[in-house]
Amino acid sequence: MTATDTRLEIEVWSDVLCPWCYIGDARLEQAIAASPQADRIDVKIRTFQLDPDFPAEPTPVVDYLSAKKGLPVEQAEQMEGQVAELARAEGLAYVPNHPVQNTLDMLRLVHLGNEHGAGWQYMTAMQAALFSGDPAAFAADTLVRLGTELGIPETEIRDVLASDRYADAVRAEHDEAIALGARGVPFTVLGRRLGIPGAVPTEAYGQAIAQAWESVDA
Amino acid sequence: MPEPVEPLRFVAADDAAVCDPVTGVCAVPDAESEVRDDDGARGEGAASAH
Repeated sequence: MTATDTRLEIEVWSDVLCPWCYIGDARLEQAIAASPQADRIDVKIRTFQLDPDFPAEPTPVVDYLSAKKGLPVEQAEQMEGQVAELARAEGLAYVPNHPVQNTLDMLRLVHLGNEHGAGWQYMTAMQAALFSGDPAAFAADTLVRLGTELGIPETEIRDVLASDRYADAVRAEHDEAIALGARGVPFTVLGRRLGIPGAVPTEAYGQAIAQAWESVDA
Repeated sequence: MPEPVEPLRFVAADDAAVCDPVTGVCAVPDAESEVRDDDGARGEGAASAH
């Protein structure tokens, strides 16, 4: 294999409602675009369900944090405001106090997306809908629309939603991330050698990519 | 799914922002990061969100 055949796979474990995954993914995309080896980098989304006990119905995140996690409302609102500022700095829409809901169905669909080569795009489309405050972000019709816009057949999306397909895959990827050392998300692994446990600035993603290439070329 | 061939080496930043599945909280870092090599999983911040 020649040097120009060498590729670097970057895997990112993520949950749809994780704001740092949303922000981190955007920064990682910028870092990859700026890399001299951008055309030899493959990005693969992996799933990590943060909280299987999230409510089945959409709930404002501040209410969720206050009622379920015991966070004072004022603190939750302040944090939402801070995250919104950071998201907007990356050019991302972010409506504070957006709804949250159980994400298992979304993560199962990301696995379907991966089978069609569009898992990363499906995840980021779901995140954009959620964090931009779309009240129907979790609705089946929204998930169908986002998926079909990426070329995923509607019948396959609805089949997944009507079944428990990929539930085992979601659990398996969660367990794999833990085995690799993840303690939360985003969790980024470069070439199965370097790990980044969390969202970091674009420059830091760039440095990690350069470091991973040094290992690949060594 | 590829299997890890060796333990990961973590390139960590002190202010890496992470959502913690145990607490349900997403940390908000409050300083610019300095990337360095690390031998363990990190990613904590100063405050919290989700």
